[in-house]
Amino acid sequence: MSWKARVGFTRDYLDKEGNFVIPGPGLKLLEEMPNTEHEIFPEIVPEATPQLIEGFDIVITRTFTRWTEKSFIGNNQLLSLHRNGVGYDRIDVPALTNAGVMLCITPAAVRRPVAVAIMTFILALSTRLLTKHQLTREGQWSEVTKHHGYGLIGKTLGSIGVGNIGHEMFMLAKPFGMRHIAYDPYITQEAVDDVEVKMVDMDTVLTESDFLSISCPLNETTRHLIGEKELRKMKQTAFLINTARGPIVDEAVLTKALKEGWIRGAGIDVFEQEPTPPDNPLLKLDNVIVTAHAMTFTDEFLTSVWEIIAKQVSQIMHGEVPEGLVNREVWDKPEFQAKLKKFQEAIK
Amino acid sequence: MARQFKVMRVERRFQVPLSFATMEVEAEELAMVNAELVEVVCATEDEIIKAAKDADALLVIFAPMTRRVLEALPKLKVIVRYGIGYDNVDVDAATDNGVLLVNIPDFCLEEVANHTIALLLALSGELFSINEGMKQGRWAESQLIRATIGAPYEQTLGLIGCGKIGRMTAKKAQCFGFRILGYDPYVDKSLAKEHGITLVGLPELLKESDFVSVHTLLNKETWHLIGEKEFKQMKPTAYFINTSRGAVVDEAALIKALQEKWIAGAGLDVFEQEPVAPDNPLLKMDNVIVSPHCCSHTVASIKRLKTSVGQEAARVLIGRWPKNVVNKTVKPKINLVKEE
Repeated sequence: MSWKARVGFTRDYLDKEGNFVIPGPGLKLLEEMPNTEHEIFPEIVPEATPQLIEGFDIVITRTFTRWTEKSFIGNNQLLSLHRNGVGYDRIDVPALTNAGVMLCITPAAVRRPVAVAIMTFILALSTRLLTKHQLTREGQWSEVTKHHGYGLIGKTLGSIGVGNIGHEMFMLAKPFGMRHIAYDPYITQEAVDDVEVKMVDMDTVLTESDFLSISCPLNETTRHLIGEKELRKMKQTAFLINTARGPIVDEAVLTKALKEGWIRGAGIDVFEQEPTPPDNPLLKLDNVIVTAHAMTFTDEFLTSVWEIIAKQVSQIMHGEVPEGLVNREVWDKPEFQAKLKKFQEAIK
Repeated sequence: MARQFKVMRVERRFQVPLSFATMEVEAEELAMVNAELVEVVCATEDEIIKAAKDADALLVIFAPMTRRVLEALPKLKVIVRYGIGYDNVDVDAATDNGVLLVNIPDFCLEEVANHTIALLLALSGELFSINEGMKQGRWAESQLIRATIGAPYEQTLGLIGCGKIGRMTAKKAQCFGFRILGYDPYVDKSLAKEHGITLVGLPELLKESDFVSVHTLLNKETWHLIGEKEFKQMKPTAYFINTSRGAVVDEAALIKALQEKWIAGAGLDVFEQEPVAPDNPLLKMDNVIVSPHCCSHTVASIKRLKTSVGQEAARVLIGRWPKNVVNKTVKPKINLVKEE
C-alpha cells in the first residue's frame, strides 16, 4: 500500500471567513497533484511547534509564523518548507539546515509583479496622481496648477539592493530616461551593466536619488537600515519607495521625515507591524501612498507562484533538487538523503 | 518708445491655469525682437475683436479663434497655441485669412506618456482603492482587492491615435510586456511598426485591448469618436484612458458604460466640459481616476512651453517661418524666410 505525501499549509492562508487569501489557478495544480493530500493547520501560531508539523512531509508557510530551532525538535519527517514569495525573515535558516529541512522560495513569481509595483509608485508619486485625483473629485479644479507633477527625464533612480527584483525594476525603468544607481554589497558592476546601473556606495545612493527604492532582504544587517541619519541625507525633493519589508525602515522616523518635509513623499507597501494598526500616523499623511503588502498579488503572481510551488513539490517527490532552494547544503547531508529515500519509498 | 510689434493674450478670466498666469518667460523672448506682450481679459468674441485689433500675434490657450474673430483682425499674422491641440481655432478660417497657426507639438510627450502609464498601472493595481482602504484602517480588505484583478501581464494596450504621444506611450509600455495595437488612419505603417505598434481597425482594437488609451487631436473627425457602440465592443474587464481631449469621447456614453459595467474602469485627465461640473458622476465612481487636464504640466514642461510659444511668435514677427505650422498651405501676410 502506498502512502500519500502530506502537504500542510499554515493557517494564515485563510481569512476570518475561511477563504483562501492567495487564490489562483496554480493552486489547483497543487491540489490535484497525484499522491498528495493537503491540510490547513488548525490554528494560527506565532511560532511553529513540533506538534503542528507532526506527520507532514512538506509545509507551505505564509508570513505570520516564525520557524526556529524549537519548531523541529524530535521531527525526522519534514523535508521542506516553502514560501510563496522571496522573503524569509521569519525563518531561521541555520535552524532549518540543522534539522535537515529544505527552504524553497519563488523568486521567479515575484520578480515582475514587485518591479511593476515599484514603477506604479514612482509614476503615481511623480505625476502627483493621488493629489490631482482628490482635488478633481472635490471640485477644486483650478487648485491643481499648484500641484505640478515632476518629470522623470534626467532624474536619478536609486535602489538599495539590486538582485532579482531591483534588476527587473531597472529594466522596466529604461524608457523613462532616468539615471540609474544602486547600492548592493553583494552585486558586481558587470551584473548590472545590461540595465545601465552604476553601482555606488550607500551614501551616494541616499544623497543622489530622486526616487529611492528598497529591494533587499530583511535580516540583522538590514533592520532599520534606513533611519534618521539616512533620511536626513536624502534630497528634500526625493521619494522613498518600500516594497521589501517594513522593518528595513525605521517607521517612526520615516513618519517624522514625511511630516517635516525631510523628503517629499513615499510609496509604502510594507510596515513594521502587519497588519498595520489603523491609527498608524503614517496612514494619515497626504504625501504617502500606502498599500497592504499586496502590490504583488496580481494574476501573474497568483498563477506563477503556485505553479512554481507545485513544481518544487513534484521535484522533491521525484528526488530532484527543487527550484528556488535556499539552503542547498541540506541536500547533500546523509540524514536528509535517508529521510528523502524513506519518503520516496513510502509514496511509491 | 513704443515697441515695434504687439503680441496679445485674450483669454477668459477663469480659464487661464495658474501656471500660465504670469507671462515673463514669453515676454522675455518677445522683447528680444522688440515686441511687447499685453494681456486683456476677454469674455466674448466681440471683446476679443475689440481688444486685439492692433495685434500682430496672439498667444492662445482657450480663446475662441473663430472665423468671425479671424476676419475682424486684419493685422494678425500668427496665432501660437500653448500646446499640441488647437481645437479652439478654426484652421480653415486662419488659412483663408493668411494667419499662420502654430502649435508646440513636442512640449509634453514624456509627461503625457508617463501620466498614461501611471493611470494604467494605478488602475490595474486598484492603487487608490487600496490606498483609501488602508487610510481607513481596513488592511485585510485592502489586501484582497488586489487579488481579484489583473496586472500588465500578457495584456494588450490599444492606442487610438499613434502620433508622437501615442508612440512615446508605446515605447514605455513595451517594457512592461504589453502587446500594443494602434488605430490611426494617418500614421505610416512602418513608423508604427518601428515603435512596436501593430495597426488595426478600431473595432478590432476595442475588442482585443485590456487598456484603451486615446491620443488623438480633437477635430470634426474625432469628435465623439468613442461612443456607446465603441464602449460595447470593449471587454468588460478593460480600462479606458483619455489624456487627449474630453470631446473625443461621448461622456454620457462613458458614464453609462461605467455604471452598467460594460468596462471595468477609467482614467481621465480630460472632460467634455472643463472645469468639470462638481456633480459629474465620473467624479464619484470608485473605479475612475480623475485629474484636471494637467497631465502635461510639470515645472519643466511649462517653462519649456512658454519659451517655445514666445520664440515661435518672435520668429514670425521678424520674418522667419516658425518651426511648426499647422496650416501649411497658408499664404502669410508678410514675407517669411525659412531658417536653416
